[in-house]
Amino acid sequence: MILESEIWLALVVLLPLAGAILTFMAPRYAPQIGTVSGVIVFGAVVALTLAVVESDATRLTVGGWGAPLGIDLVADGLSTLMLLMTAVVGLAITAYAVGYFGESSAHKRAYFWPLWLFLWASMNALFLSGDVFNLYVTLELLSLAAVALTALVGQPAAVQAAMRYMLVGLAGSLMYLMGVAFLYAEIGVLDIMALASVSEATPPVFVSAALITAGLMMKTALFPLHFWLPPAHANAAAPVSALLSALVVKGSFYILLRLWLTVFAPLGDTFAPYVLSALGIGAIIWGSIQALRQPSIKLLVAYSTVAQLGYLFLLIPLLMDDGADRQAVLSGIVYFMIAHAMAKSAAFLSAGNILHALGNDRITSIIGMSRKMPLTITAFALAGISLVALPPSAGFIAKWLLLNEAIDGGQWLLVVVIIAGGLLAAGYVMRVVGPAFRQVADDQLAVANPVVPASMAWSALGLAILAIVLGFTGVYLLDVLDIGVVILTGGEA
Amino acid sequence: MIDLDTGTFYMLVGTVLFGIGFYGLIAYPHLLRKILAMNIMGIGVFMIFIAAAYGSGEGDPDPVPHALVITGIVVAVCATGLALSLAVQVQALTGSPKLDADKE
Amino acid sequence: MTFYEILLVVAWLLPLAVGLWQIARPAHMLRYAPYTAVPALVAALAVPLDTSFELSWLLLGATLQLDAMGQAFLLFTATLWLVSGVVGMAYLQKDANRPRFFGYYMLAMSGNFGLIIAGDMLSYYLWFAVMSFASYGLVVHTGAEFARRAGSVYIQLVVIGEVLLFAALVMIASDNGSLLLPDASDATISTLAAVLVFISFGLKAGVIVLHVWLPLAHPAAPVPASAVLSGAMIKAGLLGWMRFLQPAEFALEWGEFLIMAGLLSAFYGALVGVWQHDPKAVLAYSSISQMGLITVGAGASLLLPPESQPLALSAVMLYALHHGLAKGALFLGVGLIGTSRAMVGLLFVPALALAGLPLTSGAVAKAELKYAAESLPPVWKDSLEMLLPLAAIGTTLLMARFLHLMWTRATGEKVPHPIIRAGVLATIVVGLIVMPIWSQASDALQKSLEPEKLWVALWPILAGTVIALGYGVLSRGMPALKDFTIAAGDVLYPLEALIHGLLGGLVAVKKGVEAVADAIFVWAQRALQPSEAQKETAVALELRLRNWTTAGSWLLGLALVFLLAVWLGG
Repeated sequence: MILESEIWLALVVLLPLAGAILTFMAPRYAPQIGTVSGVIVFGAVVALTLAVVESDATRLTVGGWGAPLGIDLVADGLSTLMLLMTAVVGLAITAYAVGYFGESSAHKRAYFWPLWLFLWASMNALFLSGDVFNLYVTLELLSLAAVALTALVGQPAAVQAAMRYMLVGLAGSLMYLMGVAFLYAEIGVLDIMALASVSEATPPVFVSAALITAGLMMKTALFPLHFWLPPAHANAAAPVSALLSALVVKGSFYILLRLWLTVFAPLGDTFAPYVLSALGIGAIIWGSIQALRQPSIKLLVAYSTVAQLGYLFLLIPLLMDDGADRQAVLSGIVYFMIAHAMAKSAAFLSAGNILHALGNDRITSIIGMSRKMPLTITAFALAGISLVALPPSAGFIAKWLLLNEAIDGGQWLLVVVIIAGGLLAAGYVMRVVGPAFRQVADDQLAVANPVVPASMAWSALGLAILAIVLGFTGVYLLDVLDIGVVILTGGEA
Repeated sequence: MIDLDTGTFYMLVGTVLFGIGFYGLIAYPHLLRKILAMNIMGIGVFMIFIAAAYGSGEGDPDPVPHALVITGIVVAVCATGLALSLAVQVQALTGSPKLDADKE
Repeated sequence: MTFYEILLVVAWLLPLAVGLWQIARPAHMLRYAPYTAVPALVAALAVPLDTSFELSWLLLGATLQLDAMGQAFLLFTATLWLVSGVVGMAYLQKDANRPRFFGYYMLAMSGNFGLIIAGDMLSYYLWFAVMSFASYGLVVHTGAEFARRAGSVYIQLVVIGEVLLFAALVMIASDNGSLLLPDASDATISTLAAVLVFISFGLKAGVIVLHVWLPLAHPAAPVPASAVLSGAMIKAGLLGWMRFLQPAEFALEWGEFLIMAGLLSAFYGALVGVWQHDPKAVLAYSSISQMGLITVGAGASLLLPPESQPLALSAVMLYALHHGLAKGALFLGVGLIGTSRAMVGLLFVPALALAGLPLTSGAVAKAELKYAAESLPPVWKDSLEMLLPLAAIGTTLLMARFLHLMWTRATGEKVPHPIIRAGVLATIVVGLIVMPIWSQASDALQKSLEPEKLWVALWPILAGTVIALGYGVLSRGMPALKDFTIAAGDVLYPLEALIHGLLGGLVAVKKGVEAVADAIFVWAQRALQPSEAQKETAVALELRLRNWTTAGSWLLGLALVFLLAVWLGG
């Protein structure tokens, strides 16, 4: 390595930030600067990954201040995988946005790029944060950028959705911060590992856990607190929908996961994990039922996100159970996050292509379109295969890992839910894929010659292919997850 | 009377403020009221941090929560700014300062 | 990675890569399509036995292996895919959809190779799935009404088979904590898992009752696809049994069960097949019958004591090899329909080989099977001694039927395409030559040439010929007999009627459940939002959630639930 491995920790936050400022100052060249920044950030994340794989988990004490007043950035296996997931989806969305905003007004183009790069920077900072307060700041920055991006379209529905999203974001992060305040008043430290080593099952920690979990649940859109997600994700511009659904919700879930594995580990043997699991079941069923009833593709995909997020919570009881193979459960959950990120961004980008080419995204409009826009429909179908978890796909491997652990843990209800969820997903995916592949005469098509810019078609397809290919190369990613101490047992450091 | 030390008292006040703010957020449909309610929630949280800095009142106050509160205020100001501008947009586009789902 | 390991990976991935490319960019790589099978053929001949290695980056760590069984399967499988591909290029020359056909062809090929060299269950399952789904494209290729119907029956059964196999796989994996193939690890298989394995692979192998799709699908596909379906892919089910059932609980009982199922299929295929009027349907039923005989071998391998097991395994390998090549040649030979009688005369060779004429591959395979049967418990030994020659009569009759149908259609109107002719010839020659030089076969060849074995092999053929000729004379005077037929798919039709009846019942139940569910929804809607009763219920409930007061109350409620949950402990 030419550079010290710790430097990459700072660079993956600084580089998108610099890109954001540059695109803001030179709006005319925003697409060019944005694309270059995207490639550079991607490269930096890859370099960081290699550094972490080579030399184990790393920590950077920014400015040499050190805790408690300074900010520490920490990269272990889990954060690295999240950064990588963000970078891959981010790069594809960058490529997509060049085509997407190419024809739109200068206003939208001028604001998309800085906001998107800000979002990327806060996302990266979030995954690298080593203390609970820093997590609050990054979470809030992430929300602000996401809300502004949602409102970018400027239509009444989008602005209303953004407003609701804003309030949800604020309320959720304030609940989180309240939890942090209680935690600090009780324990007096902010560093996650330090908190983990001393936290015990005391009433202030209970209150803190309840506040933090509830706030983050709402930001992760766990049923029944998902009410804000479908309007926000369905009304935003296509690349924005993709990054909201694929990445942003994972940010708050990551914090939840991280804290329950460390600070709240002493509460693992309570009923709380079962509550999360039960809500997960509700999410899968309710989200799927809604997806089966939506008239438009983007709403359908948004409700699919509601359903898929349920899987992340399903196995939390096993994750907190000392008797289970916790590392394996974590692997399943993380792999599911990654698989979902690829498939869902591909689905939203192809939905965006359909909207772009046909002028609307009603399911009735895409009858027979597989002949006219093969790349887009193939992308959607491949993403659908991963969402349904048919083999061979990343979704299949993810569900396979979850299923295995559920069987080993004797959680038969969860086994049934996982399998039934796949069938429901097959149902809503077929609602789009079926009509698209129907053979009809040219004069019965909604639009005779739909046009999709090549960069948009290929970036959607690229992500979809990745969602399939990741079904073949699971092991390497899971190896990365083992780097650093991610799981603490019973509050021991 | 219940005997309260200063730290616990401020912590209680902070919790109550947070609760009042939360009630305002969910009870009143007008967006401006919701945004103000959020700010009250925020002040409640900051109060708790200050109480934590005070600790048991012996010795010097802990400087860390002060740094946190200052950061928190900056974040809250940014968020309030964005929320207000969105609220103005909602009013301009829909002719109403309330979200559709919140109208009676 | 060693050279041989790379060769195995290439053998299996090359058709996949080229096939995908072919589908993405039709016509680009078309002319190379058949030759993507070459590395697999080279691998079968060159890679040393019992090569096994792990590709840790693939799936959850895939294992590739080539054992004796795999080598035999890879040999005839690769040969068939190669020859059928070459023939197919000529056969489909004027077909506008030829690029699409070869796209699916290569995907199915890759799946077929992949499952043969798979060393773990997940890979076997995946490549089995790839092969099964890709060959749907081959079955429906012509787009004719008949092909579409065959395709729909086929794909339904494929999906059912996949689901059952997956369930079995999960059970086996969670019982043993290993993904390695059961026969390669010290796994045990519960009876339920074994039943699922039997059914899911039985569907592919066309064991009786599970065979209904086969006489529809195999003939519906174009000639080169029929050849690989009936010659190569059908054996994937058999290989699955051998790989998965070996260590099953009650392996002995499974052995007996397989022998019985095999014998039933052998006779059933012959009895129904002789009444077919389409040469390809006759061949499809012959495949059911022949697969029945191989199943007998597979059953014997489970039943035999460990020291005699290699005999049965070698019988299965030889039989699979022999049937793959002979049946492939016959199906390709259907491409010669309408040409001269000299051409059709060529097909006597593989037909007689199937019937087991001494000195042909069939005689060697059958002798090995009988030899293995001699070590079985007396009751099985005696009944097989009696029944196997009867099965050979059945085969002879089927072949007579097939040759008759081809012969009467040999009008000489068409000139045989040289490549098709060469392909048939090549398959026949390979079938004739490869058997004796096959290392394990040399012994079997001598066994088949012992005088008493010769007679055992010959008399069923003579008897069958006499019966066929007698029938020919008889039917000349009786048109009713001549026209008698049993629709291809036989028991499918009564089964379908039964299933439709059951479905009708299910629909009634479903309607009842829906009515109850609707009532509950309506009630819930009234309770929450009486003013908007006409709105669609679930969507209305969802909109209701968007109200801040409702949502905020949920948030507060859940926070309290959490607090309670952590406070009350577990």
